[in-house]
Amino acid sequence: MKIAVVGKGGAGKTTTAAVLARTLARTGQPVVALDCDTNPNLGLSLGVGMDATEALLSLRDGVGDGVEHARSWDDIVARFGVDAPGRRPPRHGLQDRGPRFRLPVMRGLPEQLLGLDIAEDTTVVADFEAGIGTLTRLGETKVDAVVVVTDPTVKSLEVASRAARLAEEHTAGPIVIVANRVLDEADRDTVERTLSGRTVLVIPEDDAIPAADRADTAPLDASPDSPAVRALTGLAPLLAGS
Amino acid sequence: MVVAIANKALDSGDAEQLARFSGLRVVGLVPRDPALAAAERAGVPLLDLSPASPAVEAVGSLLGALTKEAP
Ligand SMILES: Nc1ncnc2c1ncn2[C@@H]1O[C@H](COP(=O)(O)OP(=O)(O)OP(=O)(O)O)[C@@H](O)[C@H]1O
Ligand SMILES: [Mg+2]
Repeated sequence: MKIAVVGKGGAGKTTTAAVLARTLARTGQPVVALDCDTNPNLGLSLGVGMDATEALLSLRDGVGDGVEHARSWDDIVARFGVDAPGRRPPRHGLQDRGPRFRLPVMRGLPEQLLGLDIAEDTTVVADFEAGIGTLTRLGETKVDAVVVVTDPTVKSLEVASRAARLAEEHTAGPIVIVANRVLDEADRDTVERTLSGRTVLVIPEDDAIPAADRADTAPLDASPDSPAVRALTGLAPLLAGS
Repeated sequence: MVVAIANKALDSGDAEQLARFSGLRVVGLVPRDPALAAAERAGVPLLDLSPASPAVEAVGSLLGALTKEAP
């Protein structure tokens, strides 16, 4: 299953993609979080840390070649992936036993990568570059779901409206709107009015998100019970249920 | 000349972090400003909605800071 996360710059795509990828990985299925941004930082929100994210960045020039010469998606994931934390941290000092979920983060040409044959049981969460450029370049490549992230500002909603319409050409699956950084009822109404008829998941404005970013930790680890993280964990069931 | 401006800053710690990460001199700090959230929601320029807001004032004083920095 391929899930594209799209939206205007700064809307909250990376935060959303990271919480979604890790929520899905908790179920035990193989998950690949794919950073499609030329300025990759999905690793930070996943909890991979600054150093590993930087290391991936330096591999980036090799990725173009990798796509050309790699035999398969698995090959690329093995060569350019990094394992992210996949489960709740161990509690009460108990050893965290059992298999680790592989949750590689990679960077590459998204149109190319998403066009490769990917095993049926693998879920790819692709954090797209801001705007609608990558969506337009997908060509014939289809995805199985599109998450459109927007905040309640006029500019962000405008991009979200266009992205949602464009998404219909690239998926037969669910298109879910994530209304991020909602302050009040008025914000919620604005999003629901602008994108009426669509499935909307509301995520509140929450200082825990920038605080986690500042500390170079995954919001899911730093503040699992904060309002925004709790709300974002509702995205995976919504995608599965639609 | 390449210098940095810390936007959406909560405090001077943010400016310090930016300086550390970028290796650049931080010549200005624009605070996180609720007035901007309101302007963005209304779809109007901040300068028209709240000409005296902290963010507008901070951006206004950038010109002076940049002129001082210029070789
Ligand atoms: N619900 C929220 N409450 C408060 N701040 C948030 C929330 N969601 C995201 N942010 C903040 O907004 C900023 C942008 O978030 P994020 O990086 O997820 O967006 P993005 O869409 O991936 O941005 P880009 O287009 O640069 O890739 C970050 O500083 C983050 O801390
Ligand atoms: Mg991002």
